[in-house]
Amino acid sequence: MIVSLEGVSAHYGARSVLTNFNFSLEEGGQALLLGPSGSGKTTLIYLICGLLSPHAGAVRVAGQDLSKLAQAQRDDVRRANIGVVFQTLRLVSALSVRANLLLAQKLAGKARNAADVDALLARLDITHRSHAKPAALSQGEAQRAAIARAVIAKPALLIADEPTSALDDANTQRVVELLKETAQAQGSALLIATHDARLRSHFARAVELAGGGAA
Amino acid sequence: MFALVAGYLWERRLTTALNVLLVAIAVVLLTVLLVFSSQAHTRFTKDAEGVDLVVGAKGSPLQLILSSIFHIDQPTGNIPLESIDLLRRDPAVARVIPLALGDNFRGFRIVGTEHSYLGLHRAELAQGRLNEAGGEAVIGAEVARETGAGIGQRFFGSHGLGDQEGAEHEHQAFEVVGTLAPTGRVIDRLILTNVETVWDVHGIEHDHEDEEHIEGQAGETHDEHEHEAAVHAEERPDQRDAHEVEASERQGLQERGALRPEVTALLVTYRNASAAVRIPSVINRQTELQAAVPAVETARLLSLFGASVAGAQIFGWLMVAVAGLAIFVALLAAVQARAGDLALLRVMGARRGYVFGVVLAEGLAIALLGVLVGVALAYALLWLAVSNFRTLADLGFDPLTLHPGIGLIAAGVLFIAIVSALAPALRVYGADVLKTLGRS
Repeated sequence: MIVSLEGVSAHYGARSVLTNFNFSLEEGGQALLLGPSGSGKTTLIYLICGLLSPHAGAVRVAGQDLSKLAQAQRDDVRRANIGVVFQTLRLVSALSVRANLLLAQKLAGKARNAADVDALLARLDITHRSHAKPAALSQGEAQRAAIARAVIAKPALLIADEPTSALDDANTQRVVELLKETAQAQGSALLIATHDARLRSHFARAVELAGGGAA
Repeated sequence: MFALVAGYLWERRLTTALNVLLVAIAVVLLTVLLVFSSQAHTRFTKDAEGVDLVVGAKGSPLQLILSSIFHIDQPTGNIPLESIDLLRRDPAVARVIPLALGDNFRGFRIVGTEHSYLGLHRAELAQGRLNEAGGEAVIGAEVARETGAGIGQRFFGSHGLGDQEGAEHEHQAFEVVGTLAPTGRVIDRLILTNVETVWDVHGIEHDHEDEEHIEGQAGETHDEHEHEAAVHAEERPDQRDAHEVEASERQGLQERGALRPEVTALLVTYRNASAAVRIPSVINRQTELQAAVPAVETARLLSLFGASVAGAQIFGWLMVAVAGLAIFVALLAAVQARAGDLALLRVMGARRGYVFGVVLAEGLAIALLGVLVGVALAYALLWLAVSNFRTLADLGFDPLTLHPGIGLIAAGVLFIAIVSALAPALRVYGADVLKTLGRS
């Protein structure tokens, strides 16, 4: 399993977000976490990324129990295994698309490989925007660039947080297929957290969150 | 990290440029002060080496030292030739070197003196030989370089000491018989000849008795000079009238006793320390001469100069502190504006130390750029100053030599930049990624 959560509980003050939650995803697998706002999707992502520690239970990524690791070690696990695509926070603003990908390779502890970067940009059809700064990209270009940035280091797990918010049906379909294809091509497992029920039909496995745990 | 830091600096290029400029202005001030004070100190110390006392006409002792040792001011006047004997007879005096000033060639002073003057400045011949006969000259390395003069070339001196254009002495040409190797001292910028030649150029009659006062110089008779001047006038008939007027004026002055063989100053070296107490006191109280001690006058000058430099240096470091404050404000605003970016970097796997380092490196990069720009500007200013102000050139300022103290200025500026960047960097280090991601 690339990721597994066993009996995980998390709460913010008195408000319980996850209670005794169990989930796992095998290497190369694809799953959808579906739930409304406040159901714990983002908390789950933070737990898997090691940015948040559960109040109970264990979160394992690539076989390592994150709750037993120090913050710096959790950073290392995330760096080596996980790529994340956020809804709005996509790229480092000061760098071009290409420089973002090269930086992502370096931060993931991989050797900078310009050929890989160029190949991925070509596959995502944004070669012509490789030297553009994020602010100059269109919505679609920025989305593709963010996916490229998240998978360039070939992470074992690709997480996308609300990737289709505010997109119409056609663009939603395009983005989901792009995520699935790219994750598959890079050998990454894919976990999408969303409130968008339109995505359910694209995944064989969907876990619904209703606040407090899996529905 | 380099690409990221460069990207962030470029993203805020106007702020970056202003901060770099602020640092650069402070560095310019500090560098110029350092180079000027250091070179002035070195030059004053080196040029005065080996001279225990300067004897000249009454007037300002500092002026006497500046004109006779550093060759940057007008002399206080002339003194009788007999003064040389007065000093040479004193058993406590080891050496007396006469100087006769009054003319220049293209701003380089022509100095009538003895060969021992070369020994005083540890100067050696690079080419040719030492001057022996009247009209022969040995030129310093800087004179040779700037005028392009070489062995065998002839030139006419002009009246005055270089800071103003005077009439040419066209009746008496100098011939270069030797050039000196560079010494890094004032002699590099001087044209040396014997004292009698200076008298001849000014039409001052002298006899062998006068020449005996000047030790070790080959003399020529006055008749020979008169003959040479006459031949010269014949060769240039267009100048004849002017020379006749000049000769007539000289004759008038000589008849009134104004043009007697004199020297401008005497550079004295003691044989023993006891002379330092007795000789200046005797000269100043019992003669019409003035004795000035180079060590005292140079120390006084450097002390006055040093106080001004210290004040300006404090101002310079205050400017560095202001630049540091500007870097602090700019970085604080920047890290607030790019909180999302820094959170993304952390999610991408960057450790806290990495994002801390990015902010610190930004501060350091601004300071480093400021230092580089500042040092380059400072040396450009020094070069311009030396090129345009004769006194600086005469003092031998070298605008191209890097001073090791610049390393200390750079270290100080970088330290202040680190201190300034520390608070914004720590803010990023301790930032709550989850809160930032939540806001994004």
